[in-house]
Amino acid sequence: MQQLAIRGIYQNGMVLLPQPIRYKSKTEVVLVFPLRPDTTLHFDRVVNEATELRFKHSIEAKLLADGDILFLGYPELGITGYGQDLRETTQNFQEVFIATFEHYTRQPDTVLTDKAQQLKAKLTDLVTQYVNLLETEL
Amino acid sequence: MKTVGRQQIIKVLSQKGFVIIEKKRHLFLVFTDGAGRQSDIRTFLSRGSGYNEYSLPLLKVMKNELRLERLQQLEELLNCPLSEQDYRALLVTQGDLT
Repeated sequence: MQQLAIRGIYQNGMVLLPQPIRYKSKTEVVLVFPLRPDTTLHFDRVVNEATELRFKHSIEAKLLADGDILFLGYPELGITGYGQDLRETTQNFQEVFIATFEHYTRQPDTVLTDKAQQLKAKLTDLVTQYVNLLETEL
Repeated sequence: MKTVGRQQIIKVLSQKGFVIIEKKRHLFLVFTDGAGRQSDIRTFLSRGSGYNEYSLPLLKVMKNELRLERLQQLEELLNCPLSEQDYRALLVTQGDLT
């Protein structure tokens, strides 16, 4: 089982130690949780400050750690986010997802390779609703 | 390969068939085929100050995103011996690009 430092955040799939080990990192105190190799996080939508994408079904992203970096990946669409803590990692994953969606779905098929067209089709199929949060606020 | 500077990655990949799409927090680099069509092979670079240097864990992810089997191939791509044409031929051989 992999040991992973998460800054005070507990998520499903992590095993909370009865007495979390506290130690001083270079910058702050962190809590240490073991991370199961099969830890996943579920998303039925992804959001950033400007956009929300709602999915047809929940997707399962795999969480893993390498060195001091956390990765959250959805291999079906080749999307990976990373960060130095879980909050940054999940935020980055959602940003990358939205950027991928916006980029490929805005391209005409004629400028995309066959596999890029397949990626565009998968993204379009998964996302049922595109919400512009900036317009919604007005 | 220990770390590679973000600016070096951008400079080299932009010279090797990648188009750069600028986002608020990321740079999105998409590989193009010989006809200039955008492929599904792409990588994201964070603009954050904590990612001026890309460490080994991040380079491993980039290797996978760029469909390379070995870190040495990524090193060759970023340090120039692997040309755009060589990289494109490799992707075609692997079936990742038509």
